[in-house]
Amino acid sequence: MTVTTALPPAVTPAREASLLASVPTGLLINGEWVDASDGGTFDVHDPATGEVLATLASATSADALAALDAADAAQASWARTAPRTRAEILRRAFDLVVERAEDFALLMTLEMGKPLAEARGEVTYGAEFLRWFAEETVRDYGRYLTTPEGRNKILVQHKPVGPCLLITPWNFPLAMATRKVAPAIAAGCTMVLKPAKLTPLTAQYFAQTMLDAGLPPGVLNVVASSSASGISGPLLQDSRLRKVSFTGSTPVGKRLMADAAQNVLRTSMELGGNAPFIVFEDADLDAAVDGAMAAKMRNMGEACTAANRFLVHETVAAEFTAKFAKAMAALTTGRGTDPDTTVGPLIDGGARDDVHAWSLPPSRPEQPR
Amino acid sequence: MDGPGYFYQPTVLANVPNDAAILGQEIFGPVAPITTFTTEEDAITLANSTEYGLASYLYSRDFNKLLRVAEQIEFGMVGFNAGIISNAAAPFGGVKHSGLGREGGTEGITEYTTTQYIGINNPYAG
Repeated sequence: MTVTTALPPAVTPAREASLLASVPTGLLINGEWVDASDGGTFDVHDPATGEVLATLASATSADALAALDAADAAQASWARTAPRTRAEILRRAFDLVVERAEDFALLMTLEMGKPLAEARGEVTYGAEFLRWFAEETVRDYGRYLTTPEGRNKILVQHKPVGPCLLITPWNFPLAMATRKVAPAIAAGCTMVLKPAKLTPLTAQYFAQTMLDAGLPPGVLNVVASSSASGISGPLLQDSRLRKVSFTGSTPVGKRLMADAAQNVLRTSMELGGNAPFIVFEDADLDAAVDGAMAAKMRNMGEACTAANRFLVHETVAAEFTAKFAKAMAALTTGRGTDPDTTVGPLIDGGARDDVHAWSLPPSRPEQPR
Repeated sequence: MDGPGYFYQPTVLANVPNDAAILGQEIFGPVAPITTFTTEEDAITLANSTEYGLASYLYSRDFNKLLRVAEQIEFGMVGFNAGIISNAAAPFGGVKHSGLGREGGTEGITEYTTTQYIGINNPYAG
Protein backbone atom coordinates (compact mmCIF):
# COMPACT_ATOMS: atom_id res chain seq x y z
CA MET A 1 0.00 0.00 0.00
CA THR A 2 1.34 3.40 -0.91
CA VAL A 3 0.40 6.52 0.91
CA THR A 4 0.49 9.76 -0.99
CA THR A 5 0.17 13.08 0.71
CA ALA A 6 -1.01 15.60 -1.83
CA LEU A 7 -0.71 19.23 -0.86
CA PRO A 8 -3.98 21.14 -1.18
CA PRO A 9 -4.16 22.97 -4.50
CA ALA A 10 -3.19 26.65 -4.25
CA VAL A 11 -6.05 29.12 -4.25
CA THR A 12 -5.68 31.26 -7.36
CA PRO A 13 -8.21 33.48 -9.14
CA ALA A 14 -8.26 30.93 -11.95
CA ARG A 15 -9.08 28.08 -9.58
CA GLU A 16 -11.80 30.12 -7.88
CA ALA A 17 -13.31 30.91 -11.28
CA SER A 18 -13.25 27.33 -12.55
CA LEU A 19 -14.76 26.01 -9.31
CA LEU A 20 -17.52 28.64 -9.36
CA ALA A 21 -18.22 27.82 -13.01
CA SER A 22 -18.73 24.15 -12.06
CA VAL A 23 -21.49 24.90 -9.53
CA PRO A 24 -25.00 24.28 -10.92
CA THR A 25 -26.93 27.56 -11.09
CA GLY A 26 -30.44 26.17 -11.59
CA LEU A 27 -33.14 24.73 -9.41
CA LEU A 28 -32.98 20.97 -8.91
CA ILE A 29 -36.43 19.58 -9.62
CA ASN A 30 -37.01 15.89 -10.32
CA GLY A 31 -33.34 15.26 -11.08
CA GLU A 32 -32.96 18.13 -13.57
CA TRP A 33 -31.32 21.50 -13.10
CA VAL A 34 -33.82 24.03 -14.45
CA ASP A 35 -34.33 27.80 -14.64
CA ALA A 36 -36.86 29.56 -12.44
CA SER A 37 -40.31 29.57 -14.01
CA ASP A 38 -40.23 33.37 -14.26
CA GLY A 39 -36.56 33.47 -15.28
CA GLY A 40 -35.65 35.26 -12.04
CA THR A 41 -32.16 35.16 -10.55
CA PHE A 42 -30.24 36.45 -7.53
CA ASP A 43 -26.57 37.11 -6.86
CA VAL A 44 -24.31 35.44 -4.30
CA HIS A 45 -21.54 37.63 -2.85
CA ASP A 46 -18.11 37.16 -1.32
CA PRO A 47 -18.40 38.75 2.16
CA ALA A 48 -14.65 39.47 2.16
CA THR A 49 -14.85 41.67 -0.93
CA GLY A 50 -18.52 42.33 -1.63
CA GLU A 51 -18.01 41.04 -5.18
CA VAL A 52 -20.52 38.82 -6.98
CA LEU A 53 -19.45 35.16 -7.03
CA ALA A 54 -22.34 33.64 -8.97
CA THR A 55 -25.89 34.23 -10.13
CA LEU A 56 -28.46 31.53 -9.33
CA ALA A 57 -32.01 30.83 -10.39
CA SER A 58 -34.43 32.26 -7.81
CA ALA A 59 -37.29 29.84 -7.19
CA THR A 60 -40.86 31.13 -7.20
CA SER A 61 -43.78 29.72 -5.24
CA ALA A 62 -44.75 27.79 -8.37
CA ASP A 63 -41.25 26.30 -8.53
CA ALA A 64 -41.48 25.29 -4.87
CA LEU A 65 -44.75 23.48 -5.59
CA ALA A 66 -43.18 21.81 -8.64
CA ALA A 67 -40.39 20.60 -6.33
CA LEU A 68 -43.00 19.22 -3.94
CA ASP A 69 -44.77 17.54 -6.88
CA ALA A 70 -41.51 15.75 -7.63
CA ALA A 71 -40.90 14.85 -3.99
CA ASP A 72 -44.45 13.57 -3.56
CA ALA A 73 -44.28 11.51 -6.75
CA ALA A 74 -41.00 9.91 -5.67
CA GLN A 75 -42.03 9.25 -2.05
CA ALA A 76 -43.80 5.89 -2.34
CA SER A 77 -41.15 4.11 -4.40
CA TRP A 78 -38.32 5.71 -2.40
CA ALA A 79 -39.86 4.50 0.87
CA ARG A 80 -39.88 0.94 -0.50
CA THR A 81 -36.17 0.88 -1.39
CA ALA A 82 -34.07 -1.49 0.65
CA PRO A 83 -32.35 0.19 3.60
CA ARG A 84 -29.05 -1.11 2.25
CA THR A 85 -29.69 0.65 -1.06
CA ARG A 86 -30.18 3.97 0.70
CA ALA A 87 -27.21 3.30 2.97
CA GLU A 88 -24.92 2.69 0.02
CA ILE A 89 -26.00 5.91 -1.70
CA LEU A 90 -25.12 7.78 1.50
CA ARG A 91 -21.80 5.97 1.74
CA ARG A 92 -20.93 6.82 -1.87
CA ALA A 93 -21.91 10.43 -1.18
CA PHE A 94 -19.54 10.43 1.82
CA ASP A 95 -16.72 9.17 -0.39
CA LEU A 96 -17.46 11.81 -3.04
CA VAL A 97 -17.61 14.67 -0.55
CA VAL A 98 -14.26 13.57 0.88
CA GLU A 99 -12.85 13.28 -2.64
CA ARG A 100 -14.12 16.80 -3.40
CA ALA A 101 -13.18 18.19 0.02
CA GLU A 102 -10.97 20.98 -1.31
CA ASP A 103 -13.73 22.17 -3.65
CA PHE A 104 -16.33 22.17 -0.88
CA ALA A 105 -13.94 23.97 1.47
CA LEU A 106 -13.09 26.68 -1.04
CA LEU A 107 -16.73 27.20 -1.97
CA MET A 108 -17.67 27.71 1.69
CA THR A 109 -14.79 30.11 2.22
CA LEU A 110 -15.79 32.09 -0.86
CA GLU A 111 -19.49 32.44 -0.09
CA MET A 112 -19.47 32.40 3.72
CA GLY A 113 -16.07 33.90 4.58
CA LYS A 114 -14.67 31.37 7.07
CA PRO A 115 -10.92 30.67 6.86
CA LEU A 116 -10.04 27.77 4.59
CA ALA A 117 -8.74 25.67 7.50
CA GLU A 118 -12.12 26.01 9.22
CA ALA A 119 -13.95 25.24 5.98
CA ARG A 120 -11.90 22.03 5.68
CA GLY A 121 -12.96 21.21 9.23
CA GLU A 122 -16.59 21.68 8.25
CA VAL A 123 -16.15 19.30 5.30
CA THR A 124 -14.90 16.64 7.71
CA TYR A 125 -17.73 17.35 10.16
CA GLY A 126 -20.41 17.65 7.47
CA ALA A 127 -19.33 14.56 5.54
CA GLU A 128 -19.52 12.51 8.71
CA PHE A 129 -23.33 12.88 8.78
CA LEU A 130 -23.41 11.01 5.47
CA ARG A 131 -21.28 8.15 6.84
CA TRP A 132 -23.04 8.08 10.22
CA PHE A 133 -26.52 7.90 8.70
CA ALA A 134 -25.34 5.37 6.12
CA GLU A 135 -24.62 3.20 9.14
CA GLU A 136 -27.88 4.10 10.91
CA THR A 137 -30.05 3.34 7.86
CA VAL A 138 -29.92 -0.41 8.45
CA ARG A 139 -30.41 -0.12 12.23
CA ASP A 140 -33.80 1.53 12.67
CA TYR A 141 -35.36 -1.11 14.90
CA GLY A 142 -39.01 -1.70 15.77
CA ARG A 143 -40.34 -4.23 18.32
CA TYR A 144 -42.65 -7.22 18.70
CA LEU A 145 -44.15 -8.27 21.99
CA THR A 146 -47.15 -9.79 23.69
CA THR A 147 -49.78 -7.54 25.31
CA PRO A 148 -49.80 -7.73 29.15
CA GLU A 149 -52.99 -9.85 29.34
CA GLY A 150 -51.76 -12.14 26.53
CA ARG A 151 -54.63 -11.70 24.10
CA ASN A 152 -52.77 -9.87 21.35
CA LYS A 153 -49.36 -9.27 19.88
CA ILE A 154 -47.93 -5.79 19.40
CA LEU A 155 -45.88 -4.98 16.30
CA VAL A 156 -44.27 -1.54 16.17
CA GLN A 157 -42.53 -0.34 13.05
CA HIS A 158 -41.04 2.93 11.85
CA LYS A 159 -42.03 4.42 8.52
CA PRO A 160 -40.71 7.49 6.72
CA VAL A 161 -42.71 10.56 7.73
CA GLY A 162 -43.03 11.61 4.09
CA PRO A 163 -42.00 14.62 2.01
CA CYS A 164 -39.95 17.10 4.05
CA LEU A 165 -39.11 20.78 3.70
CA LEU A 166 -35.53 21.36 4.87
CA ILE A 167 -34.46 24.97 5.47
CA THR A 168 -30.76 25.51 6.13
CA PRO A 169 -28.86 28.55 7.46
CA TRP A 170 -25.93 30.44 5.94
CA ASN A 171 -23.35 29.79 8.66
CA PHE A 172 -22.50 26.10 8.02
CA PRO A 173 -23.45 25.65 4.36
CA LEU A 174 -22.44 21.99 4.06
CA ALA A 175 -22.92 20.53 7.54
CA MET A 176 -26.42 21.93 8.03
CA ALA A 177 -27.45 20.39 4.70
CA THR A 178 -25.93 16.96 5.38
CA ARG A 179 -27.32 16.95 8.94
CA LYS A 180 -30.86 17.10 7.51
CA VAL A 181 -30.53 15.40 4.12
CA ALA A 182 -28.66 12.32 5.37
CA PRO A 183 -31.18 11.22 8.03
CA ALA A 184 -34.07 11.97 5.65
CA ILE A 185 -32.47 9.65 3.07
CA ALA A 186 -31.78 7.07 5.77
CA ALA A 187 -35.44 7.09 6.84
CA GLY A 188 -36.74 6.95 3.26
CA CYS A 189 -38.12 10.48 2.99
CA THR A 190 -38.10 12.72 -0.08
CA MET A 191 -37.17 16.36 0.28
CA VAL A 192 -37.37 19.94 -0.83
CA LEU A 193 -34.22 21.73 0.36
CA LYS A 194 -34.13 25.52 0.58
CA PRO A 195 -30.58 26.68 1.28
CA ALA A 196 -29.92 30.15 2.67
CA LYS A 197 -29.81 32.78 -0.07
CA LEU A 198 -26.53 34.16 1.32
CA THR A 199 -24.62 30.86 0.91
CA PRO A 200 -26.43 28.53 -1.50
CA LEU A 201 -23.47 27.50 -3.67
CA THR A 202 -22.26 24.74 -1.35
CA ALA A 203 -25.76 23.22 -1.25
CA GLN A 204 -25.97 23.34 -5.05
CA TYR A 205 -22.64 21.54 -5.33
CA PHE A 206 -23.68 19.06 -2.64
CA ALA A 207 -26.96 18.31 -4.43
CA GLN A 208 -25.04 17.52 -7.63
CA THR A 209 -22.79 15.28 -5.54
CA MET A 210 -25.85 13.41 -4.25
CA LEU A 211 -27.00 12.85 -7.85
CA ASP A 212 -23.49 11.63 -8.70
CA ALA A 213 -23.76 9.20 -5.77
CA GLY A 214 -26.85 7.66 -7.38
CA LEU A 215 -29.73 9.38 -5.60
CA PRO A 216 -32.84 8.84 -7.75
CA PRO A 217 -34.63 11.85 -9.35
CA GLY A 218 -37.18 13.58 -7.15
CA VAL A 219 -35.78 12.40 -3.82
CA LEU A 220 -33.81 15.60 -3.26
CA ASN A 221 -35.09 18.80 -4.84
CA VAL A 222 -33.34 22.13 -4.25
CA VAL A 223 -35.01 25.53 -4.53
CA ALA A 224 -32.67 28.40 -3.72
CA SER A 225 -34.58 31.65 -3.74
CA SER A 226 -34.30 35.32 -2.91
CA SER A 227 -37.69 34.96 -1.17
CA ALA A 228 -37.67 32.54 1.77
CA SER A 229 -41.37 33.04 2.57
CA GLY A 230 -42.27 32.56 -1.10
CA ILE A 231 -40.96 29.00 -0.71
CA SER A 232 -42.01 28.10 2.83
CA GLY A 233 -45.46 29.75 2.65
CA PRO A 234 -47.12 27.61 -0.03
CA LEU A 235 -45.27 24.42 0.97
CA LEU A 236 -46.31 24.57 4.63
CA GLN A 237 -49.96 24.88 3.55
CA ASP A 238 -49.77 21.88 1.21
CA SER A 239 -51.20 18.68 2.70
CA ARG A 240 -48.65 16.57 0.79
CA LEU A 241 -45.86 18.03 2.94
CA ARG A 242 -45.41 16.11 6.21
CA LYS A 243 -42.48 17.74 7.95
CA VAL A 244 -40.40 20.87 8.21
CA SER A 245 -36.88 20.95 9.60
CA PHE A 246 -35.41 24.40 10.15
CA THR A 247 -32.11 25.71 11.44
CA GLY A 248 -32.02 29.45 12.00
CA SER A 249 -33.21 32.22 14.28
CA THR A 250 -35.82 31.82 17.01
CA PRO A 251 -38.16 34.53 15.58
CA VAL A 252 -38.25 32.83 12.16
CA GLY A 253 -38.62 29.43 13.80
CA LYS A 254 -41.67 30.62 15.74
CA ARG A 255 -43.30 31.88 12.55
CA LEU A 256 -42.64 28.58 10.77
CA MET A 257 -44.05 26.64 13.72
CA ALA A 258 -47.20 28.76 13.63
CA ASP A 259 -47.60 28.05 9.91
CA ALA A 260 -46.78 24.36 10.41
CA ALA A 261 -49.47 24.10 13.08
CA GLN A 262 -52.18 24.76 10.48
CA ASN A 263 -51.08 21.64 8.64
CA VAL A 264 -50.13 19.69 11.83
CA LEU A 265 -46.64 19.11 10.47
CA ARG A 266 -43.85 17.36 12.28
CA THR A 267 -41.25 20.00 13.10
CA SER A 268 -37.58 19.98 13.99
CA MET A 269 -36.35 23.39 15.08
CA GLU A 270 -32.70 24.23 15.70
CA LEU A 271 -32.95 27.84 16.80
CA GLY A 272 -30.90 30.47 18.55
CA GLY A 273 -28.62 30.06 21.53
CA ASN A 274 -27.02 32.07 24.30
CA ALA A 275 -24.33 29.67 25.45
CA PRO A 276 -22.75 30.28 28.83
CA PHE A 277 -19.07 29.42 29.16
CA ILE A 278 -18.51 28.91 32.88
CA VAL A 279 -15.00 28.91 34.34
CA PHE A 280 -14.89 27.69 37.93
CA GLU A 281 -12.13 28.63 40.37
CA ASP A 282 -10.47 25.20 40.09
CA ALA A 283 -10.35 25.13 36.27
CA ASP A 284 -7.19 24.62 34.25
CA LEU A 285 -7.11 28.20 32.94
CA ASP A 286 -4.91 27.50 29.93
CA ALA A 287 -7.25 24.72 28.84
CA ALA A 288 -10.20 27.04 29.49
CA VAL A 289 -8.65 29.74 27.27
CA ASP A 290 -8.06 27.18 24.51
CA GLY A 291 -11.67 26.04 24.82
CA ALA A 292 -12.92 29.62 24.95
CA MET A 293 -11.10 30.46 21.73
CA ALA A 294 -12.67 27.46 20.01
CA ALA A 295 -16.15 28.00 21.44
CA LYS A 296 -16.13 31.74 20.74
CA MET A 297 -14.16 32.08 17.52
CA ARG A 298 -15.14 29.02 15.50
CA ASN A 299 -16.92 30.42 12.45
CA MET A 300 -16.08 34.00 13.62
CA GLY A 301 -18.59 33.50 16.41
CA GLU A 302 -21.36 32.97 13.84
CA ALA A 303 -22.64 29.72 15.35
CA CYS A 304 -25.70 28.96 17.46
CA THR A 305 -23.36 27.01 19.76
CA ALA A 306 -20.94 29.96 20.10
CA ALA A 307 -19.95 30.85 23.63
CA ASN A 308 -21.99 34.00 24.13
CA ARG A 309 -21.39 34.80 27.80
CA PHE A 310 -18.25 34.09 29.79
CA LEU A 311 -19.14 33.53 33.44
CA VAL A 312 -15.87 33.42 35.35
CA HIS A 313 -15.33 32.91 39.07
CA GLU A 314 -14.26 36.21 40.59
CA THR A 315 -10.98 34.80 41.94
CA VAL A 316 -9.69 33.78 38.49
CA ALA A 317 -11.40 36.42 36.32
CA ALA A 318 -8.39 38.72 36.00
CA GLU A 319 -6.03 35.93 34.97
CA PHE A 320 -8.52 34.34 32.57
CA THR A 321 -9.35 37.70 30.99
CA ALA A 322 -5.69 38.57 30.46
CA LYS A 323 -4.89 35.22 28.84
CA PHE A 324 -8.04 35.23 26.72
CA ALA A 325 -7.45 38.80 25.52
CA LYS A 326 -3.87 37.89 24.60
CA ALA A 327 -5.05 34.94 22.52
CA MET A 328 -7.74 37.04 20.82
CA ALA A 329 -5.21 39.77 20.00
CA ALA A 330 -3.00 37.20 18.25
CA LEU A 331 -5.68 36.43 15.66
CA THR A 332 -5.33 37.63 12.07
CA THR A 333 -8.37 39.00 10.28
CA GLY A 334 -8.56 38.71 6.51
CA ARG A 335 -10.05 36.94 3.49
CA GLY A 336 -10.49 33.25 4.28
CA THR A 337 -8.47 32.18 1.27
CA ASP A 338 -5.31 33.79 2.72
CA PRO A 339 -3.32 31.10 4.58
CA ASP A 340 -2.51 33.58 7.38
CA THR A 341 -6.16 34.38 8.09
CA THR A 342 -7.64 33.02 11.33
CA VAL A 343 -10.74 35.27 11.36
CA GLY A 344 -12.81 35.89 8.25
CA PRO A 345 -15.41 38.57 7.59
CA LEU A 346 -18.92 38.53 9.03
CA ILE A 347 -21.65 37.50 6.64
CA ASP A 348 -22.88 40.98 5.71
CA GLY A 349 -22.97 44.63 6.70
CA GLY A 350 -26.06 44.21 8.86
CA ALA A 351 -24.40 41.49 10.92
CA ARG A 352 -21.34 43.66 11.43
CA ASP A 353 -23.40 46.69 12.45
CA ASP A 354 -25.44 44.63 14.94
CA VAL A 355 -22.35 43.14 16.58
CA HIS A 356 -20.86 46.62 16.88
CA ALA A 357 -24.03 48.14 18.33
CA TRP A 358 -24.30 45.46 21.00
CA SER A 359 -20.66 45.80 21.97
CA LEU A 360 -20.52 49.57 22.46
CA PRO A 361 -21.20 50.88 25.96
CA PRO A 362 -23.10 52.82 27.04
CA SER A 363 -25.44 52.75 24.05
CA ARG A 364 -26.22 49.03 24.25
CA PRO A 365 -29.80 48.94 23.06
CA GLU A 366 -32.35 47.10 25.18
CA GLN A 367 -33.82 44.93 22.44
CA PRO A 368 -32.14 45.43 19.07
CA ARG A 369 -34.01 44.18 16.00
CA MET B 1 -12.58 47.76 10.19
CA ASP B 2 -12.04 49.94 7.09
CA GLY B 3 -11.90 48.71 3.51
CA PRO B 4 -14.12 46.32 1.56
CA GLY B 5 -15.67 43.27 3.22
CA TYR B 6 -17.52 42.94 6.50
CA PHE B 7 -14.67 42.49 8.96
CA TYR B 8 -14.91 42.98 12.72
CA GLN B 9 -11.97 42.98 15.11
CA PRO B 10 -12.06 40.15 17.72
CA THR B 11 -12.96 41.83 20.98
CA VAL B 12 -12.99 40.91 24.69
CA LEU B 13 -15.27 42.98 26.93
CA ALA B 14 -14.00 42.74 30.54
CA ASN B 15 -15.94 43.44 33.76
CA VAL B 16 -19.35 43.37 32.09
CA PRO B 17 -22.16 43.74 34.69
CA ASN B 18 -24.36 40.66 35.22
CA ASP B 19 -27.41 42.51 33.91
CA ALA B 20 -25.86 44.06 30.77
CA ALA B 21 -28.06 43.82 27.67
CA ILE B 22 -25.32 42.15 25.61
CA LEU B 23 -25.49 39.07 27.88
CA GLY B 24 -29.07 38.51 26.77
CA GLN B 25 -28.35 38.99 23.08
CA GLU B 26 -27.15 36.29 20.68
CA ILE B 27 -24.03 38.14 19.49
CA PHE B 28 -23.18 35.98 16.44
CA GLY B 29 -19.80 37.63 16.06
CA PRO B 30 -16.26 37.77 17.46
CA VAL B 31 -17.09 39.59 20.70
CA ALA B 32 -16.63 37.95 24.11
CA PRO B 33 -18.25 39.61 27.14
CA ILE B 34 -16.87 38.45 30.50
CA THR B 35 -18.83 38.72 33.72
CA THR B 36 -18.06 37.23 37.14
CA PHE B 37 -19.78 35.12 39.78
CA THR B 38 -19.08 34.21 43.39
CA THR B 39 -20.88 30.94 44.17
CA GLU B 40 -21.82 27.84 42.19
CA GLU B 41 -25.47 28.72 42.74
CA ASP B 42 -24.89 32.18 41.24
CA ALA B 43 -23.28 30.61 38.18
CA ILE B 44 -26.25 28.27 37.69
CA THR B 45 -28.77 31.09 38.11
CA LEU B 46 -26.89 33.31 35.66
CA ALA B 47 -26.53 30.49 33.14
CA ASN B 48 -30.27 29.76 33.22
CA SER B 49 -31.33 33.42 33.04
CA THR B 50 -32.08 33.30 29.31
CA GLU B 51 -34.93 32.06 27.15
CA TYR B 52 -32.40 30.00 25.21
CA GLY B 53 -31.04 26.56 26.04
CA LEU B 54 -28.74 25.17 23.35
CA ALA B 55 -25.03 24.73 24.11
CA SER B 56 -23.17 25.37 27.37
CA TYR B 57 -19.56 24.92 28.43
CA LEU B 58 -18.21 24.15 31.91
CA TYR B 59 -14.56 24.24 32.96
CA SER B 60 -13.47 22.66 36.25
CA ARG B 61 -11.12 19.92 37.48
CA ASP B 62 -13.87 18.60 39.78
CA PHE B 63 -15.96 16.05 37.89
CA ASN B 64 -18.59 15.91 40.61
CA LYS B 65 -19.05 19.67 40.36
CA LEU B 66 -19.37 19.44 36.57
CA LEU B 67 -22.06 16.76 36.89
CA ARG B 68 -23.83 18.65 39.68
CA VAL B 69 -24.00 21.82 37.57
CA ALA B 70 -25.01 19.94 34.42
CA GLU B 71 -27.98 18.49 36.31
CA GLN B 72 -29.18 21.98 37.19
CA ILE B 73 -28.68 23.94 33.97
CA GLU B 74 -31.32 23.93 31.26
CA PHE B 75 -29.32 23.34 28.10
CA GLY B 76 -29.61 20.62 25.47
CA MET B 77 -25.83 20.26 25.24
CA VAL B 78 -23.09 20.61 27.85
CA GLY B 79 -19.33 20.54 27.26
CA PHE B 80 -17.12 19.43 30.15
CA ASN B 81 -13.69 21.02 29.63
CA ALA B 82 -14.41 20.99 25.88
CA GLY B 83 -14.98 23.97 23.62
CA ILE B 84 -16.20 22.06 20.55
CA ILE B 85 -18.88 19.42 21.11
CA SER B 86 -20.72 19.10 17.77
CA ASN B 87 -20.45 15.58 16.36
CA ALA B 88 -22.47 13.52 13.91
CA ALA B 89 -22.77 10.73 16.47
CA ALA B 90 -24.18 13.01 19.20
CA PRO B 91 -27.72 14.40 19.53
CA PHE B 92 -27.55 18.11 18.70
CA GLY B 93 -30.38 20.32 19.86
CA GLY B 94 -31.81 22.65 22.42
CA VAL B 95 -34.50 23.23 25.01
CA LYS B 96 -36.71 26.26 25.73
CA HIS B 97 -36.62 28.77 22.86
CA SER B 98 -33.63 27.05 21.27
CA GLY B 99 -35.92 24.55 19.63
CA LEU B 100 -37.39 21.09 19.30
CA GLY B 101 -35.89 17.82 18.17
CA ARG B 102 -32.37 16.51 17.79
CA GLU B 103 -30.05 16.14 14.82
CA GLY B 104 -27.35 13.49 14.62
CA GLY B 105 -26.83 10.58 17.00
CA THR B 106 -29.29 7.71 17.16
CA GLU B 107 -32.00 10.35 17.67
CA GLY B 108 -31.43 11.96 14.26
CA ILE B 109 -33.23 9.39 12.14
CA THR B 110 -36.28 9.32 14.41
CA GLU B 111 -36.98 12.95 13.45
CA TYR B 112 -37.79 11.61 9.98
CA THR B 113 -39.83 8.56 10.93
CA THR B 114 -43.34 8.03 12.16
CA THR B 115 -44.47 5.09 14.26
CA GLN B 116 -47.04 2.53 13.17
CA TYR B 117 -48.48 0.05 15.68
CA ILE B 118 -50.10 -3.13 14.43
CA GLY B 119 -52.24 -5.10 16.90
CA ILE B 120 -52.29 -8.81 16.06
CA ASN B 121 -54.57 -11.48 17.46
CA ASN B 122 -52.36 -13.83 19.48
CA PRO B 123 -52.81 -17.30 17.94
CA TYR B 124 -51.66 -18.91 21.23
CA ALA B 125 -54.05 -17.03 23.52
CA GLY B 126 -56.53 -19.28 25.30
